[in-house]
Amino acid sequence: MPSLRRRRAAAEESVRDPDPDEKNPELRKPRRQRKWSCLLDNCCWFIGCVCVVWWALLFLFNMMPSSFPQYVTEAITGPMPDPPGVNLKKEWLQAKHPVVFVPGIVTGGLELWEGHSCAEDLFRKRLWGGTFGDVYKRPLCWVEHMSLDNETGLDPPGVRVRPVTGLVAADYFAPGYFVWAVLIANLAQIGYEEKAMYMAAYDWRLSFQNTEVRDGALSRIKSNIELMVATSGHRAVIIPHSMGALYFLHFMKWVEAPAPMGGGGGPDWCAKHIKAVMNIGGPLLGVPKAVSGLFSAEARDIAVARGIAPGVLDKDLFRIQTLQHVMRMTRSWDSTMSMIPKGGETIWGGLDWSPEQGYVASKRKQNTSQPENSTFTEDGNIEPKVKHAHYGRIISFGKDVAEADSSDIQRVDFRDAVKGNNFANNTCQDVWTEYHDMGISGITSVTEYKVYTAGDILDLLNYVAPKMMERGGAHFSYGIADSLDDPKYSDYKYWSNPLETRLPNAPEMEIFSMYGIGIPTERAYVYRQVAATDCYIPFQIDTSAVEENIDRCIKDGVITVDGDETVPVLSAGYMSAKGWRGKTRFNPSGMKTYIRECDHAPPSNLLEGRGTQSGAHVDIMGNFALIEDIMRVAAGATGEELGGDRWHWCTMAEATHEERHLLQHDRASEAGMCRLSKLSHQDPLLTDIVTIKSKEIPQQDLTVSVADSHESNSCDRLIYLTTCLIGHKVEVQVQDGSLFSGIFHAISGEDYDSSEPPSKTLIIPATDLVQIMAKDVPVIRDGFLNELQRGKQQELMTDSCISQSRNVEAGRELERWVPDEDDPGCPELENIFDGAWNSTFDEELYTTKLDRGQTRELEREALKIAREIEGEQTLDLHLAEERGIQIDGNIEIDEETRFSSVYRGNHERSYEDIVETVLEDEEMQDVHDRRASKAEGSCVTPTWGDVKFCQQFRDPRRVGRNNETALVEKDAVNQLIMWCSRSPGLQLRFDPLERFVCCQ
Amino acid sequence: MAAILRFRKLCFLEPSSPSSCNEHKKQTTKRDEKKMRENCDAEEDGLRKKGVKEWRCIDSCCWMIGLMCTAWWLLLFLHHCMPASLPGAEPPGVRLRRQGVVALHPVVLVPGIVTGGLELWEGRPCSDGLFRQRLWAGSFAEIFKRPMCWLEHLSLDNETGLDPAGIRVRASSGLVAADYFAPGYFVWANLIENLARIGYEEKNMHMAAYDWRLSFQNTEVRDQTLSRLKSKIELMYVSNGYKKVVVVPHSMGANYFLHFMKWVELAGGGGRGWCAKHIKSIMNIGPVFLGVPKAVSSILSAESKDVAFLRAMAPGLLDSEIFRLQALEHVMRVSRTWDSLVSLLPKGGEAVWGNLDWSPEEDHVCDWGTRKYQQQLKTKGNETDGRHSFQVQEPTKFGRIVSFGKTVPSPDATSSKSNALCGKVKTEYDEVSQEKIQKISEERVYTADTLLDLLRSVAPKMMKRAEAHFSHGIAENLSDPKYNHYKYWSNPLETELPEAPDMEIYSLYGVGIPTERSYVYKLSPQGKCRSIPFQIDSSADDSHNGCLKGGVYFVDGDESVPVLSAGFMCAKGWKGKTRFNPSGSATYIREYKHIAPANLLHGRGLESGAHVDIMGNVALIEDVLSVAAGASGVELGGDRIYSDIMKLSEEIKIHL
Repeated sequence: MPSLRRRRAAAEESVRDPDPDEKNPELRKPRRQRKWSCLLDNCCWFIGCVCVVWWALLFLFNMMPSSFPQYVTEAITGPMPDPPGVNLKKEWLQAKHPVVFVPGIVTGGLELWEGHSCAEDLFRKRLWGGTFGDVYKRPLCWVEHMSLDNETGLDPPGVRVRPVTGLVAADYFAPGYFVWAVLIANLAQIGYEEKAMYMAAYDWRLSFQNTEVRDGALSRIKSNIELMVATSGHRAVIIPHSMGALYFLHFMKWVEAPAPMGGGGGPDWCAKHIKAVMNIGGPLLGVPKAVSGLFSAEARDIAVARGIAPGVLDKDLFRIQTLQHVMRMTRSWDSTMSMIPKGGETIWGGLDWSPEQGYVASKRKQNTSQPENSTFTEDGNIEPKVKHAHYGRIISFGKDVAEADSSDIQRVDFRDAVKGNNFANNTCQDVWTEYHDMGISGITSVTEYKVYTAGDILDLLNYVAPKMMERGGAHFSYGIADSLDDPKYSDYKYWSNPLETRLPNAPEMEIFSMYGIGIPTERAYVYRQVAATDCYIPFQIDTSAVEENIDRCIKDGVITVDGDETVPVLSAGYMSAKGWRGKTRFNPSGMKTYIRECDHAPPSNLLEGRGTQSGAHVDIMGNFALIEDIMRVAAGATGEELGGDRWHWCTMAEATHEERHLLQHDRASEAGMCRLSKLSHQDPLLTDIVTIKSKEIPQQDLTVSVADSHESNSCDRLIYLTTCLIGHKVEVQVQDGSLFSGIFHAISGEDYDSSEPPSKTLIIPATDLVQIMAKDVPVIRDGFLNELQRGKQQELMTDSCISQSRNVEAGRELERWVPDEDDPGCPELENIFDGAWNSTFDEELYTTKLDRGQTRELEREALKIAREIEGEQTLDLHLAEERGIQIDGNIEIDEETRFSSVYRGNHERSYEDIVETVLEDEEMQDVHDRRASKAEGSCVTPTWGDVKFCQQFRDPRRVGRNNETALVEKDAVNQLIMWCSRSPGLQLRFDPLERFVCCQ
Repeated sequence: MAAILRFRKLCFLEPSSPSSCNEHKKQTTKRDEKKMRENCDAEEDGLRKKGVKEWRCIDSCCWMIGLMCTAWWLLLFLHHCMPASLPGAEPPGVRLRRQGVVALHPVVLVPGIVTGGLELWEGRPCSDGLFRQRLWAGSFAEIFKRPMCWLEHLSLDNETGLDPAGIRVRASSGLVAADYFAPGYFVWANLIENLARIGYEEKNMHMAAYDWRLSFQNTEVRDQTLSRLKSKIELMYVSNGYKKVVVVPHSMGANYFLHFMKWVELAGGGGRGWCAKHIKSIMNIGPVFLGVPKAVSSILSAESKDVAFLRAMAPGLLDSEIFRLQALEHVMRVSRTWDSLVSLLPKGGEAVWGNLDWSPEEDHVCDWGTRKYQQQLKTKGNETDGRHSFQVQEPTKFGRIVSFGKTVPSPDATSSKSNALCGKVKTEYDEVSQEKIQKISEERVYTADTLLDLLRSVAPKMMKRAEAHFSHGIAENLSDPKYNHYKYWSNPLETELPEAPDMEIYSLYGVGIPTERSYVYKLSPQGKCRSIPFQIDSSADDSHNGCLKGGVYFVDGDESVPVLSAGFMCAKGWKGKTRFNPSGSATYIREYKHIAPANLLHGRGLESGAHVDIMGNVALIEDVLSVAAGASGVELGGDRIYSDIMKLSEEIKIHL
């Protein structure tokens, strides 16, 4: 309040001269009764009025009941949803596992414990977080105290800045800007308090190992987790956010490593103490943003800039100096180097390839199709010759370079270039950066290399910031391990790189990756060299590079992909989606991993604050869905009980494209709902119940084979998926909010002729479409069958299998046919279709014309028959194998039974058994009916025929689904085997009578 | 502001009826609506421009306020421009640092009763918006906004002594838990800052905050506070290079830490030798080892005069005449749910605190003016002895902790029935019959022994709860297995110190301030409402040696804790090898003479000896810092005694 008043005072005083006021009383008193002095008395009078009003308002404000703002909000926007804490409390959820929060970079508070004389009165005041009040008052002093020593990466002499401890360390970053506070409040609803919640605050400026060396931070976390586990009797749930995910990886390795370097917890410490690690937006593979931050201090929205930007230093005159200050400061922070992209070109893409290639920039504008760019290729599809964004080129100099073919780029290697110190004068204030050592020749050589991929980035940084990288090199590593058994990997510098360490041996542990999607996220940059003057940072993001196209999005010199505004999907999701999934060398004990994505939905108005469905990097901590997940896990749920993975259609984890493609289908069919929602934001896809207008869609999108997932984008997928809905009853939501329901007739990519007279069918143009919903429809030909075959080892792959690009073996990559150099026929072939060329080709000459709608029906019929055959019960191993049932390796079958072609099924059976077999078909119907009726949760242990259930039949995904129960009746054995082999802890056995028994 | 401008402008534009406004003025008096007046003012303003020069009251008011505001802003501005530190005394930390004293042993701070912050984690609907806000310590803003709600949340369950259903109030954690009690009112902040100067930071300094309302064992049951403290000490011990810990408890924290030491060896899984292994020294600041008489009066009639509770409440809403009695009842009802209060009752009974005719402080001189004088002379010689003995003609009977004055009003039988209920507050006194109260007051005199019976009869529930957790006697035979029960652990007269011969125990406390020792009570006048039936008889004054003032007998101490309670254990009870200190841990007494701050600028003084203010005492800080940096008690200079604690201790004859 005083500060407010003071500010007001300042405003007042600037308008009116305050000084005379002070002299006033004595001077004016005698005359006051008779005469108003225009200026002074009015002035005082006026200020008095203002004060009174101000106080009155303040008084009213203080008297206001605290629920008033909420009341206003609800009056305007309608009732708010209950926070998850309240809802779950009604479900009687209770605090169970202790919870540990690991904050990320930047969000944790730092306070001063010892400083230079300029910071005398700031003892135990926050330098970082809180109000940042001192940035304004004494910016240079602040920068000085926030920097670390350039040589050691530890405290500079005479300065001690330490992390704030306790929950207050990171509950709010600045007043009103929550980080963990919402989550904490919700957890408190179900009974958490400080004895079961721990904020693992650490100094986020230091390298991870140094936090232990200097502050004993890792020991502190270890001791706290041990204490909480001991007092509560349950293993802890860890919730790292952002860089905290890397920090905790480091911690898990540290704690199990032997004493001098590690925590000496022994090899099963994690298994004993950790239930789940729930990474929120964890940049496990780094973020491209870190590169630009280190390279030119231009990480655009890191709070550094935010905190400083509105301040004194942001005047035009000082701008450059500001950046240099910031750069010098951030380069002294080792932790920023932990987020340099890891995995090199294998992960992040090379000059021509990147895992995100198929990504469609989300903010498309209408643009005309470009048929002239399309050519026919061998397989008859029209393949776009459109330039893809080269996401792999993380830094490129000049926009043309960013787009050019790799063969067109002339690069001059910079690595050996001589650095010269040929800046004429060195009087450039007192800010020194390492760029001063490079000289013009050094800078030019950097520019001339033109393009930097993830691999080159390291060399580049080594070149421009040798000191920093030397420090960082001792603490972080960015490669991919060839052999994890190499003893060198016991060094701590590998511990925070998921590609160079093993997860701890803890099969019971679960790892969640939870992150937001649907926001354009920085992925690559277009740079330019600034005229070489003394005081500039010689490189800048070229903000003039703007291009928005269907396939790439360059804006202000930044190329964006899908992500949570800071971390690309690739970095947040890859390890859980593939790198750690199942038993891999990075995850030797095969702990479970889950991906939970949160689709970004911005708050609808200002009153909602930062939204309850946000997917942005920090705002996601207020996302209700995410909070609910965390609370359920903290109260004891497993990942399976949460519903396993939660994907969103509009994202593509690029590296794991095929898998995700498949998983999406599974998830959809399991949910029993084909929900095609917002394929990407404002996707101008046309669909309708009848026709898709193609004038909105560029040609190449439509003509690409729908099954060819390498080239597909969400548009294709929509068409592909909605095709399966033809003939079904669907609901279509359009932009104005209304919902149409009807029989889905067609979806089309053809030109929509607007002159066509309106028919009985309703045509919904793509611009209006929001989503299509169809309930109880299997998505792929048969969702369930597909699920059955998922694990099947396909030895022989048909072309259609390959082109459908499901179940593609990792080892088998399709290669484009490239003609030999010396093949004379090639050039002609290449150009044969160029120019005006009319084909007389008519498809119907050779094949029967297909009517799409009918085909589906026929196909269905055929499938149904096939399924009936396949679904027949069999006890024959070989038949089972043929039908796509994978027999678990650990089933005890003797070799003869397994491989011999002689079927001895009934060999030892008595007569009664045979009779029973005959009878069982009649009985089975009953049994299944019983089971279906008992469906949910009840313990059913039916014994019929050769099948025994030893475990209560309770698989949450299997309950209450129509198409599924129908199937259950048909292939009980198949299902049993499948279910058995996939349920943890159960084993399938053949008992002596060669019955299938599923037992624990 | 804009609105006002517009308003004025409007008036300028429409000087339609200056006459009407004047008429208004004539007709209306000051009762007129403010808006109307402003309207007129504005018009007046307009008129003024035209030459009408006249002042009115309202203008003067505004003028004055304006002037004040401007002056205030100016001062504020100057204040902010002022250099951060006025040239003043150098803090002890800086000086010691220069002398080469650096952090060595980890430090654990154990706050006392009342000073620790409490936050709300779950509450009733009336506490909306207070989640994780401080209910106790900090700004106390909620007292004024919703006093009833606040009281409800602060009280505990009357049966269990734990949380009431649906309310969770927890201790704040970290150094902030007790660095400042209220803004500007430091508790530990000064010490922390000086520790930081010689290199301490959070990795080697820990605030063992606990919920001070609970009984000690319940802090472990509900919050696992003792386990946390144990784990923290072990962690600091290991991560600071196997350096033992220096523990600095304050006030009730001393008892709490006694309890902890027994707990950790008997129940906490530390085993014998844990303390010897982990603890270097315990530096009790103003310890309440043997309890304080103040606790008696606060339980009996909620009149502990200077507990911060009342201070915070006093200026508030509840203190008006109408609510005053009710407020006291509220306070009593709430504070009687706090088990920890019982831990502060005088321990050791008549053997320590004196009986009807005898007390260890018998020949205490209460004339504070002469006392100072005497002490100065004492150092020179013994020539004043004669005068001394002359003054103390009739020993004050301090042993009678509660005595009822001569004027016992006859019971008004009719009134006691008619006004059964008055207000919603029910205290346990409502269940005590009038006859019993009468009987209590007729008993006249209570010593430390009979006191407990008195409390049992007036506060049966509380005593029943708390006596399962605390004991107040003297052990006959410490090897009796019953003393393994936790209720004895916090009573130094019923436990042995842990076996740790190298451990040092300090008692650091202030002397030279009159401290409550015993009370003169009277029955409350029967008002309309039935209220707390007892009241300190503030009219009781004793002129002959000044020990009795406002119904309270004073002795030497630090304003809260008498010297006897703070010093006896270190002066005699544990000195050398006694049965309470079987391994012979060294004990030291460091007293600090109270010197009141010379003027307001000095704040709470650098040489204060008052119970809380002593935490800013330079000499004490230096002692703590030196020990934390490795010095032993001998290096500090051994005992430093100003009071007559040694003589007092001699008077107390208990089996050692």
